[in-house]
Amino acid sequence: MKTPRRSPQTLRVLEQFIERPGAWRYGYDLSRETGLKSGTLYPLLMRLAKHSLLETKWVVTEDGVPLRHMYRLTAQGLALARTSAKEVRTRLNARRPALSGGAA
Amino acid sequence: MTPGTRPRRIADGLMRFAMRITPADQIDWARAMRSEMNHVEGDWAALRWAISGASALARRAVVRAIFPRDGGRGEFAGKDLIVKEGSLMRKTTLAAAGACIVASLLFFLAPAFRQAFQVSLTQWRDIIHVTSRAGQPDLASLARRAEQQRDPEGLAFVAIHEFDPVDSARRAEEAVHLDPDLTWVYAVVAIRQSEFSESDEWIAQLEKWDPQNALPYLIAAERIDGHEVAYAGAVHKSVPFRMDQRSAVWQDDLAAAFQSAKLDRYLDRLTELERRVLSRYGIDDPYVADLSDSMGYGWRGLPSYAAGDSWSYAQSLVKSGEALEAQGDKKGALEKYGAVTRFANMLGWPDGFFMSSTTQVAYARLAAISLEDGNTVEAGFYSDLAARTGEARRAQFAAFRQPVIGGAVSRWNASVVKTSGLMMLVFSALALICVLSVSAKSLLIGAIRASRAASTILVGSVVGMLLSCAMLYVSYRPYAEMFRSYVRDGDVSRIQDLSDFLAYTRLPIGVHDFGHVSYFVFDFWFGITTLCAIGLMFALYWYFASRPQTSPAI
Repeated sequence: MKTPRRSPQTLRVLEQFIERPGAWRYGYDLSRETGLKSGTLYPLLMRLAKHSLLETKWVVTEDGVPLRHMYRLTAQGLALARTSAKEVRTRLNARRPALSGGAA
Repeated sequence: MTPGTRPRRIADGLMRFAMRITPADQIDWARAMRSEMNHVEGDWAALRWAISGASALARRAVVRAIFPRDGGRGEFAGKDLIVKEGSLMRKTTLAAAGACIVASLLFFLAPAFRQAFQVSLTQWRDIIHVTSRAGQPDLASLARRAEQQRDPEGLAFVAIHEFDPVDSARRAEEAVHLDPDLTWVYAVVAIRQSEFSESDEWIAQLEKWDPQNALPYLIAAERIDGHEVAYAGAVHKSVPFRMDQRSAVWQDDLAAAFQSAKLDRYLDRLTELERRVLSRYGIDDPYVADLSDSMGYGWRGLPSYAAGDSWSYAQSLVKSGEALEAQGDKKGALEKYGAVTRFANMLGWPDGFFMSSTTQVAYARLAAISLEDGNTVEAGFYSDLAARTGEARRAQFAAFRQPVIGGAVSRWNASVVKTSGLMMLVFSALALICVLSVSAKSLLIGAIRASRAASTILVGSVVGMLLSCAMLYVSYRPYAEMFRSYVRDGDVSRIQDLSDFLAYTRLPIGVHDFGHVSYFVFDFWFGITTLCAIGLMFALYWYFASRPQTSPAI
């Protein structure tokens, strides 16, 4: 069975969500924390939402300011994020001895 | 938080525009991006946010416009997320590539671009065809039409541009038969095709048709030169040069030329004929008109030996004049010197350059005789003409040594056109290979992801193709305009530039003069043959190396 390749940007976003699972996040905050531009971040969020990995809501922050969009991973999204994080860690661990010249 | 500063106003405008083109099912996301922009710290950061977000939305709108939505997929699988990313990437790439290809093809709608493309391929003509005389398909079509319509001017046009001497002679005779006023065409064709056996008869007809013209005599003299050069080569003797070595017939022809009242090269008639035929047959391609041959490059309407023959004969006349002067026959001497100066004036510049030193001597002798006769005004006049001839010679000599600016510009433009045409072909081939590669990968591995390298090369190729098309069009366009104004208005002021340009486009890329074309053709085919031979050797080696070894018979 093939393991799907995930883009580093997707993994970076998922990683941010795992840090505070269950917390609602703003797009601008995610952009700053991941270093992704809006043109990269939002298409990712759109795809996550489309596949029910992400839930969204509009909130009022203060008077006179337009509504703000917030995001949170669904249970399914959280599961995928954790699996992905584990896979990445496993892969990094597997590479480390090779990078350091192999076991002594 | 209302956008107040200019960057924020621009950012807000961008986002509003992006929202307008965003597909309806994604409009919430566009709103989210726009509202989030109000919280971005810093005006320029907000503008960057808007540019990035608006670009992403616009990209999706373009993709959606080209590839209509395929409806919702089933439930999510982890793999599907990645498939979507790859798929969108592939679609964006294909959309961009498709747009570039369509834009490139749109260039072909412009007649000037189609001509430019043909012109850019001319450099391969000498390489693909073994002889340069092969392939005049457009002229052949014109010839058929002219013959069907029994159009004397059309036939004359073809006779002038025809490479094949037999066909050229036949059409010239047919044209003159239909319209005797076209007898001058014999002169043009005889000069271009010096090996004609019909020339003697044609020269006789020309002498009868235009008895005051020196041109038929110069053509006749050149035919004798040609025979003498060929004979000298065959018997390994030097070519006759001194006057006492030249045949009486040659001397008679030159004497007749020097005594003629005019030297008409028929260039005006030729220009008018060309224009009328090009216009009548709707020819808008300068290569069909073959202006590189007829009007400009190396063509001054004179036989190639005319300048040398004139110089040689002028020297003999000056010597005769000096001898007559020594015998006290001033009248006879004046006639000789006068014949030299009159013919030099008919030749003009730069054709008169070769005999200019002799002309100067003739003027000086005329001045000396006038002075001896006490006619100081006439002597001053001749001295002034002698001095002017010397100055003109020096100026012409300097001009010969200087690089020709117009020629250099035409050479550069021709190089750009040839390179652009070549790059168009290379990029097209590369794009085709990439498209096949991307399609094959999509079919083979379920559209997971086209090779990133292939996609990058594809986009690069089609962008390169588009730029090459634009460069080709822009470089050629002024020459198409020159040709059009020549045919439409008879404007010959830029025809030399056009002629130079067309001549240079015949040179293969990397070849700097016409003398090296044959070497280049040899090197090119030698290289191709060598590469094929190496390829064949590798193939044979691979075949024998991979063949299962048979054990020797026991």
